[in-house]
Amino acid sequence: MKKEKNITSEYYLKLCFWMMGVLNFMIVIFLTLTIVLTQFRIARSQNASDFLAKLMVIPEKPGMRIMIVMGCYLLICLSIYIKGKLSEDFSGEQKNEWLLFLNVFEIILVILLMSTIDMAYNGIIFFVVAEMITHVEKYWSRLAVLFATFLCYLVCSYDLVTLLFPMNSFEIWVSFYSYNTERYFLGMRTACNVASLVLFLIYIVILLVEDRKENERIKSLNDQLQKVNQQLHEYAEEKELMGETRERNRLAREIHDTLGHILTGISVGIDAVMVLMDASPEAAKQQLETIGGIARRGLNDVRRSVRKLKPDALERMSLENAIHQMIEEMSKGTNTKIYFVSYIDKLRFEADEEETLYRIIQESTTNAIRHGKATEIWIRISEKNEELIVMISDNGVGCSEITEGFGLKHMRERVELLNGTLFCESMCGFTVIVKIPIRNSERKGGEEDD
Amino acid sequence: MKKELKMKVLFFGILFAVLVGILLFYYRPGNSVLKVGIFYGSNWEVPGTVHYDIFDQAIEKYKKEYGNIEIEYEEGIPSKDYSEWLAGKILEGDEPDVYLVMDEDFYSLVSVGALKNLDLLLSDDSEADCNLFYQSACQAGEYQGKQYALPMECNPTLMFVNKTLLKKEGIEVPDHDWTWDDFYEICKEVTKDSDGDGRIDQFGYCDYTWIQAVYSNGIRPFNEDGTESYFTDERFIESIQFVKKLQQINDNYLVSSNDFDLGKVVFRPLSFSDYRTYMPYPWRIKKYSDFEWNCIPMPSGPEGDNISSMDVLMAGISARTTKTREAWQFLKMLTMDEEIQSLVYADTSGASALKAVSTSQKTMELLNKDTPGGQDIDMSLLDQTIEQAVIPEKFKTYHEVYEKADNDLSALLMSEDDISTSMFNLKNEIDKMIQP
Repeated sequence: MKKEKNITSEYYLKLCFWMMGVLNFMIVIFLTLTIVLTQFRIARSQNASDFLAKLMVIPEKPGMRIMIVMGCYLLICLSIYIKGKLSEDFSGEQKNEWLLFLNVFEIILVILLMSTIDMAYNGIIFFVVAEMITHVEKYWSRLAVLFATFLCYLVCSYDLVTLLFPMNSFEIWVSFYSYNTERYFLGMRTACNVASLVLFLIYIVILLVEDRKENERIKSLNDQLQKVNQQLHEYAEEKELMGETRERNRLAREIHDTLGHILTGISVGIDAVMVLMDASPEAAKQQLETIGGIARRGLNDVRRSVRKLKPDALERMSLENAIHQMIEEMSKGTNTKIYFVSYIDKLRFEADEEETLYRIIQESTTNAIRHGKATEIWIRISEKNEELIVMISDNGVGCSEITEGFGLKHMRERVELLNGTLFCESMCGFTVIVKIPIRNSERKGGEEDD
Repeated sequence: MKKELKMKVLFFGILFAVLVGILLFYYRPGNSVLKVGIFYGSNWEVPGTVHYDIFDQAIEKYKKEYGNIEIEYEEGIPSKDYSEWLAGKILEGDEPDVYLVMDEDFYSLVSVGALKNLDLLLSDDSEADCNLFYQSACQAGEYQGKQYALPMECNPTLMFVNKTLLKKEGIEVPDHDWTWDDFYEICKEVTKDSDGDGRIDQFGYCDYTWIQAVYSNGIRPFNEDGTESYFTDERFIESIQFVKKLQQINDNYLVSSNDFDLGKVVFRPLSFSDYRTYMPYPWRIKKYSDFEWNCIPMPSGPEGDNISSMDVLMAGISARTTKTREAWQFLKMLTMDEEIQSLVYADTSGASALKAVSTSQKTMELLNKDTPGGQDIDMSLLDQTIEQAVIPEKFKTYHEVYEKADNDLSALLMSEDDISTSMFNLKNEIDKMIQP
């Protein structure tokens, strides 16, 4: 329903504009021919020299006058046509530049045209402005343009212009005819002016009404959008709650699967030991060894489970945010200052790479705090020669000789899986440098998908 | 996307180029016909002048010197229709590139912007110099300090003297530096009733008007821009009083030019072209044939000199010409070439504005050919008269205001009113008319 209405008002706007175009063309041709024919009639009458003395400036050559007027009008129409097509082809700044250029071009043409018909008609300003104003989007700018137009219209009247530039007037031309004919011509010109003005006003009214409708439509759409947005928020909250529950369930399952399993094994084993203890201490001992093995394996399982649960942060959010969160938590809990800087625009990599990076940073900072007693840690991620370089250094005590423990070994293994290298050095604290080749093509592909 | 726009820009560019092309075609510089506007007959209202010969010779000489450019003029435009013809051509946008400018058209042509400003052309051309002309003649083509036309020929006003009548009265022909007093004395002496019928039938002068008295008393009626009149100036009032005094000799009898033709009047101001037309054969038979006559300068007033007014026929270039260089060369040929300008004396009744031509021996010989013995024109008379001549002011309402002043002053001279008071009133009225 709404859409239909919009189409009709747009149709009326176009119709009105076309009418303006045709009317203006007719008026301009009428006035030009009037002047030109008068020029010829005077030249053939016996009053030419008296008439020449009345003129302010030498009149334009008749052929030239017609050619300039037609040429200007044609170029104005062409410019308007191009402007219409422009909005389809261009957007943003480039379009605005074109619009500005064409507008200035049109204004120059209009001035040339008006001066060529001796300022007999200035309604042509309205025609051009009507088109220009459709390209102005802001309401207040439109009003400003309208105001400027009326000002122009006033200034472009013959009486004011001739104060600065001497010019022949339409009145002088038609004063050649008898009183009645003269009145007829002047009346025709006034009618032309009024018709052009009325059409322009109708055009502006339609434009403004349509504009208001558009505004209302946008407002209602906005309301709808807000409502949907709120719903989305609610939904997100619900989702979060659900996620939490699921997490809890996962945790419960994990505990049940690993701890439950191990503890069950241990408790059953111990029961067996209790029975065996007296009968065969040898067997009991063996049994205890088995139980110990279960416990150790269980411990490993627990560790694995915990590890499985932990990179949650990475799953939930981007690598950068995950790192930030980790750093924040770590510095809060331990009173250590951690500085993180990344020289890469977007920290987006393959899942295994991200995981490795995250682990390395986590392990290194933990080591620095736990073993190095560091108070300040610097983390730096950069890219050089298609290699990702991560450097973690601290101001801790370091160590005189690096002995690769479990953590460090684990890190090295992870890095080597990605064909990377890991260096450690202990000078003024401890520094870990990791280099990982970037899988370029994949990264690029990933970027374009964004 | 961009391809489409490129197409549009191309289309746009082509259209623009076509328009520029049309304009260039319309104003094409290579167009090789130079149009010239001239008339036949004299604009000084004397018979027997044909300009075509001067132009034909100028065109021939121009072609010889500057190569092959076609120069055309429309034949058969009489001098009285020339202003109309020219104005019509300007309105139609088809005016000639170079055309003759009558002094009465000069203001309207300049004010409308139909004449090209020649200052740049004059200063750029080392051969051209306004000082070749009599300054007064050159001034005729000047408007607000800028040169718009160059003098083609000029026509100073002289005082014709009936020598036969003076001889009869036993009076010598006055010298070239004669004064108002001499003029008045002679007029008073010769004005009488010669046949004793109780009516005055022999007169001192005719057609001597206030404006001639004003010019010769070192004053002009208006300032150059036409914004002020000098009607209450002492010299002006003195001139009017002198004319009134002269008029009283005739006892309010209106002496007509016919009286002069019949040999009953001693002095009559006439133009040089009249002298040139009626002095030699064949026109001599038509007028002034019953008495011997010659010309002298105008009498000088107490504050002035032996000065009179002068008409100038000029030539200018259309402001819209596309062949400025050719037009300028042709204009130069017409006005500054001594050979062409000497034809002014041969073919027309005017005088050349070129000093070198007007003072040459050849010209004098030409002038004195065909004239009866003892009536040779004095070359210094012509030289001095042109040099000192006054060019009437040029402004929009000049003709209107002059007519009004002439009417009112004529009425005043016939009445018994006090001149000084009347002049104040007249000045007020005139100033109201000329002030913008």
